[in-house]
Amino acid sequence: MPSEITDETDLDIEVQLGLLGTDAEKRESIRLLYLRYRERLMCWLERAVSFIPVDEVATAINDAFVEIYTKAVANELNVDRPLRPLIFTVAYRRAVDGVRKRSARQKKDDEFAQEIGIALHGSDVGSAWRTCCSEDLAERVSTEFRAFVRTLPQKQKLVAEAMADGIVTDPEIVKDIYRRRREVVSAVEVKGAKQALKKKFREILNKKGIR
Amino acid sequence: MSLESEKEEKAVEALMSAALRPFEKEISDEAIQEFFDSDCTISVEGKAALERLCDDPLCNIKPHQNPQEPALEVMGDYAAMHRSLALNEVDEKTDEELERKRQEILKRIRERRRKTE
Repeated sequence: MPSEITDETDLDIEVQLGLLGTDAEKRESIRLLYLRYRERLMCWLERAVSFIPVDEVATAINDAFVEIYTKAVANELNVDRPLRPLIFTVAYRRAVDGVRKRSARQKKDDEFAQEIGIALHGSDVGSAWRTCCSEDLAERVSTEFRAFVRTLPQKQKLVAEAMADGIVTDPEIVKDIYRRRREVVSAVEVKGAKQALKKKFREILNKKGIR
Repeated sequence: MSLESEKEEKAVEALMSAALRPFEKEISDEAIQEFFDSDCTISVEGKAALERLCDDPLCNIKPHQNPQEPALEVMGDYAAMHRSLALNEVDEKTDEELERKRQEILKRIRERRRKTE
């Protein structure tokens, strides 16, 4: 298998062939896919999970390719289906698993959504959100907010990570950050970070017509 | 803070949590293409984190031993008994035949892909 292929279609075909081949060919295919996608995966995951440290993202990307190799070895990989969504989904799940593993609450998505629904019920913000909300709008709000979080100092990102788990009080956030990351962030720092996050979030909501 | 404004604060925090949460989801090819088409530049920290790792994600994973695929060193002497060339060499005719087969497979895959697109 050629070690350097620049044309994307040819690489796809070579990789498909390689993943069906011997172990050495499978390994080479995985290496080529990794070299091709690792930077874009890093960039994408940094956007999708804005508070996660880059070293953890890099490990998640690496582990995703090991998982895909393991599937190929076990003949569980359908190489006739596009590989790109599989690679991105596996890498995303790896990154999210890393975040969830450290959480004390380990809330499932539906439990989380229920908790959010209860908090929004009967509030003006909740009514405004329900009136204008669409999946597309929610995604745009989220993307813009995550882009802002990426620009924050590390301690404020840690506060964002704790808040991604649901509604938590300031003392709970302090404890949570220490438990997850063994980092000491004071209650005052948490309060400051929350204020900065809320200010920006309100700005985004206002810009989208949600008041 | 009044009860009313406390409720509003909580509601904003709830929406904020939802915006931050990485929900479980499948990533579609369309979403990936949209991302590729957008301006995506890797951060300096992200690039450095990748560089701290090996260029091969399998560098710490031992090669898989498939029982259907005997190890070369075991096969070596036995397989090369009738050969004048070394184990990793093939004559010109075989090489051409291998290339022909390879092109055939490539053509088949390309045609299959064209049909599915």
